[in-house]
Amino acid sequence: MVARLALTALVLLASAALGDDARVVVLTLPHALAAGEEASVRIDAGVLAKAAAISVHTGDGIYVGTIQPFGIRENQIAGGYTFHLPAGLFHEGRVSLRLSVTQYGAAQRPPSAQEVRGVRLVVGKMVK
Amino acid sequence: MRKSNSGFTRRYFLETGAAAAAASTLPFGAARAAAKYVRYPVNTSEGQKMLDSYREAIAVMRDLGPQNPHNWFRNAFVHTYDCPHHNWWFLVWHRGYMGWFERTVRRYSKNQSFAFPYWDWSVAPRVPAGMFDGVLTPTDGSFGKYTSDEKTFQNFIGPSLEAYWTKLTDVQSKLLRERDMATTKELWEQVEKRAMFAKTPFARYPSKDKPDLDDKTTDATSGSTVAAIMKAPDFETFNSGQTKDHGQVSTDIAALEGTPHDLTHNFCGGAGLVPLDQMGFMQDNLSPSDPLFFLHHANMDRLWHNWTQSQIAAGKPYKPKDIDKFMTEPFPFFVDENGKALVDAKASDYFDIGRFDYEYAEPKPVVVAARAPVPASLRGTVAGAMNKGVASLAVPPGALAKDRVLVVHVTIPNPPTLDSPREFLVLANAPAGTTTATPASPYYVGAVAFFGFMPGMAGATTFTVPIPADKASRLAPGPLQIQAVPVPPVAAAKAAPHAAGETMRATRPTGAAPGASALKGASLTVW
Repeated sequence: MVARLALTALVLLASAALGDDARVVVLTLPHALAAGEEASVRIDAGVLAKAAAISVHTGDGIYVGTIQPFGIRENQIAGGYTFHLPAGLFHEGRVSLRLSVTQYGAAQRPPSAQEVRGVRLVVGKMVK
Repeated sequence: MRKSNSGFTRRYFLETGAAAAAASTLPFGAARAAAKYVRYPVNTSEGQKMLDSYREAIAVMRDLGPQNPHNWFRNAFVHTYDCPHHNWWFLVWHRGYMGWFERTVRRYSKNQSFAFPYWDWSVAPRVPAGMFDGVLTPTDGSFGKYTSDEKTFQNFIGPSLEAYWTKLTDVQSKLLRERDMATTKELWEQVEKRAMFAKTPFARYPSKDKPDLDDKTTDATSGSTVAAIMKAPDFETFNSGQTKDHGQVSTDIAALEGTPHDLTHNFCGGAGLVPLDQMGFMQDNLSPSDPLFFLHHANMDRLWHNWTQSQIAAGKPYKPKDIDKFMTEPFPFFVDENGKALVDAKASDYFDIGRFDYEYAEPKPVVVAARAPVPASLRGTVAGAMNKGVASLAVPPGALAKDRVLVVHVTIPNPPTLDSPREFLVLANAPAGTTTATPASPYYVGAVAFFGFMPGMAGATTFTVPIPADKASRLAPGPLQIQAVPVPPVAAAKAAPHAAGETMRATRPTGAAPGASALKGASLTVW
């Protein structure tokens, strides 16, 4: 998690593809991370079914995070979640993320456009 | 970060191992002298005593009539009506809710010193052991006459809620309308739709036999995750986003709320892990029906308090920018220890913990900002000479100065097979033949663990383990003899419980040499 980025953000949804069980998003750094710079991904989630979760992994299986809101009402959006992306996750300035919806008793599947409304790469310097 | 399912990354181990070791072995700081009540970590003798009182109070509140606002479930419904989530009033509302309820528990436990113990999941990513005893779990059979099924529950508490609805103030009614709970019929519809109610046998997902948090929740609550969260530079970043009122949700979810808070709730309620009709209370807004709720939220409150203190000490912002908007938000559903409805309460009443006169007892925080830079003479790495799994490390002069931290880096071969050891105790200057130790042992420096297993993973992993100052001063200045011994099997571990009253999990395979140090290399640095 990045506490805050002095330079907010670049929105780069370089490419997105739908797989059998995940939506794959490729994010590309605008430049190599300089000293003190951090990258994170902000995922704007929409309305999720009760107890459903969006899990986020890199293309090669590194766990990034989970979105599973607590305590919100039916039909309320889950909101924007930010996960830190360590520099080591990027290969030649790119990272591939796999977003999947998991629910009890159902096969893992890609999120719909209503469930994941946007994915943003955020790059900037830490201010603390 | 870690590899999914059975894999892992080196980064994850380094951060988690260091944070956990540091957090679990630092000395307790004295509570602020001015505070009358102390919230202790649950895995301490003081915390366990508080659980005894908590258990007594719950047993009384469980059986109070449903018309009594102190009835156990009536109190939980306050959370259902009014709890803010995914907005910037989340922490302050829960501070008020807990603060008043703590007074109520004090009354019914007859322990005038009662304060909620807190569950620091970063140190112990499992439901605290005592929380499976008697009424401290909502699966206890004694709850059955109220929660055996939803019909029974509604018959018990429904009439009292009907009566409550007839006495709502205008402010209360407005808030409930905005939450689609203008009537009790709508309230029960919400309970249904969100699967808030839990039948007694399913009322909590983790069990005494399986108390551990799952992988994603362990990651979400890890020391490294929380350390990053605590770097939030201002109130707006530390909290979720601003909304019109505390019934609305923001699109900006703070890491503290969205990650350790939400995932711990959901895991303890079994969200996504069992069918909807078998989920526990913790996964939605009747979650205070599970006594674990208040230990979880005591930790959330502690983190907010610590962050605030850190910001104040550093001269950095800790209040919301739009402070008038924040402070004047009404919280009209709380009830005091005498049963009086606090219909005029506002957020400003709970921004500071002084209102309830409590403090947290915990390991002393390392005040990084106040420390002088490491002098040139102490920079660099001291490599250890290895002999049969034991590293000998010379401690450089000056390394034990008051504001310095001695840090060992231990390299351990990656687990070659699924049943290979994955948890190791790092010992310093232990007598020959020592095969295990508890954190109270003078030789115990910390514990490190491989999380999961990735077939074919070759090589070794280096873990960073800070040595608590009091132990470092006892162990050094002579050379440190470092070992990394596998965690003992269950039977042995149960015979030698942690100081915190927990037992270590066993991972050593049959046939492994008991206690043989697995250390491949070690080095020492100074922070």
